Amino acid sequence: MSARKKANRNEFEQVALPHLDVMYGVGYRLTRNRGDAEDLVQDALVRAYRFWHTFQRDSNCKAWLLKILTNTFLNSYQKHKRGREVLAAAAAEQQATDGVLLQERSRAQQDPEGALLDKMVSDDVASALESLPPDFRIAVVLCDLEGLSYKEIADAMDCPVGTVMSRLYRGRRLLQKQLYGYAVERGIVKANDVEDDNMINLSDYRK
Amino acid sequence: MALTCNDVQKFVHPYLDGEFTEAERGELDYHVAECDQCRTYVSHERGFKVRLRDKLALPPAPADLRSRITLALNEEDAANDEQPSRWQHALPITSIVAAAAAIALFVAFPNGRTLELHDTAGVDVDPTVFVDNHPAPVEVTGPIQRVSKELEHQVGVPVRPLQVSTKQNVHFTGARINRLSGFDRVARLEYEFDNRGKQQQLTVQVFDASQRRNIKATHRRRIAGLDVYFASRRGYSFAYFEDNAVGYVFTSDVDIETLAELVRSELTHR
Repeated sequence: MSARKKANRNEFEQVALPHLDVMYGVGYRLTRNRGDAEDLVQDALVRAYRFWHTFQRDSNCKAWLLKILTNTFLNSYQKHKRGREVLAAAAAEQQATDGVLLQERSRAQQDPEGALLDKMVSDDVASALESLPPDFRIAVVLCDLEGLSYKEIADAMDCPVGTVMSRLYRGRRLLQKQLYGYAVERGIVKANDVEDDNMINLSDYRK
Repeated sequence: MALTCNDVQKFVHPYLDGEFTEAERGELDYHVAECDQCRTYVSHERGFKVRLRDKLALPPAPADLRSRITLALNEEDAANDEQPSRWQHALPITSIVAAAAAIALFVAFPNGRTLELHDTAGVDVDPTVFVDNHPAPVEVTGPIQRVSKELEHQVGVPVRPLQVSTKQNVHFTGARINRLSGFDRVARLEYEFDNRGKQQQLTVQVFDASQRRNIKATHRRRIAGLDVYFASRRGYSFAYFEDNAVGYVFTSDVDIETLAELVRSELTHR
């Protein structure tokens, strides 16, 4: 190996590889499978190495790597699922904004999702996260689990900061809704009375 | 203009995510301090964020992933030495996937024998078909002698337990029958061995060599009177050889030298 290539490799190892744990964490949350996460991270890092000469030295390396990781994920690991998820995302956006805002305050007062989280097993929480459409999931993972700034997330997801904010907002709302649903299923909370009132009772009609 | 409760609701996320400057926070801080309802709301949202992170905390990347990445980068460097101009031009990110898929392993058999193993479609079997990241549960465990009898029955060729020296402390962990594309039935035996103090996995796949396809390899070595073909890809090393019409593929996430040592140990103890 030439001295120049050796220097290139050394630089990659010193600047990019320290982000391996973050990449693995994000990869695991995206794929929810250790084998897939390892493959994904490895593919993304090899790609990053090939395109290391295009990396702007004064920019944020973590965001650059995560962009490659999320693109790799969306392009290859998701290919077969993609069409279905786009549809699901459209439906989910609709649901996420329907009526949730109105109840939000009262629900937050009586039954904070945070407290619900304490009672739930990690597996349920991971499932709820997994149920989010990929764009929402990526935004929530990068912000809440990895602590990236909105600007870093925007760089990684190649979208404006405003889009990051709306994905985060909707992603979190959907997640809370999903968790609430699990909590009802598990008997951790009772289904809210308001919902019961809204149920159509056929016997009332037949009276 | 003073902030309203609606403003708090609207901006609670960027507020908690640390997106506001000190000056921008001032008004929100003031409102939240004064308004019980908003204070409760903000603290619930903060609690959600904190607990979510706790619930989904992850261990760091596994050590064998690190070593596999080092190997994969070595392969990249080696591939670049062969074709120095290959990656000189930047490609748009969207073409990376296609480009990666198009890279074929360099095929070279020094003696000109190309293991004439083309399948009907003319597509070479990628050594990575022998890697399975979603191993089905082990079907059989127990004493290797009994297990190998069961496997022999299913694959129709002798399945001998590894004979490697005890130095590497190789032990059998389980086996199953695999159905790989291009192959009828393959006996898959899982072992663990000690590689300089590190516990690593070795997979030995055994099959009827008449059903082999083109195994792409980067080099060939003569070990104990047999031609052994080696390749490495995506951080895994592969060794392929045939012994009495039985095909063997050894796969492990160690470097080729270490794998060659295991193969040598196996073949000299047979």
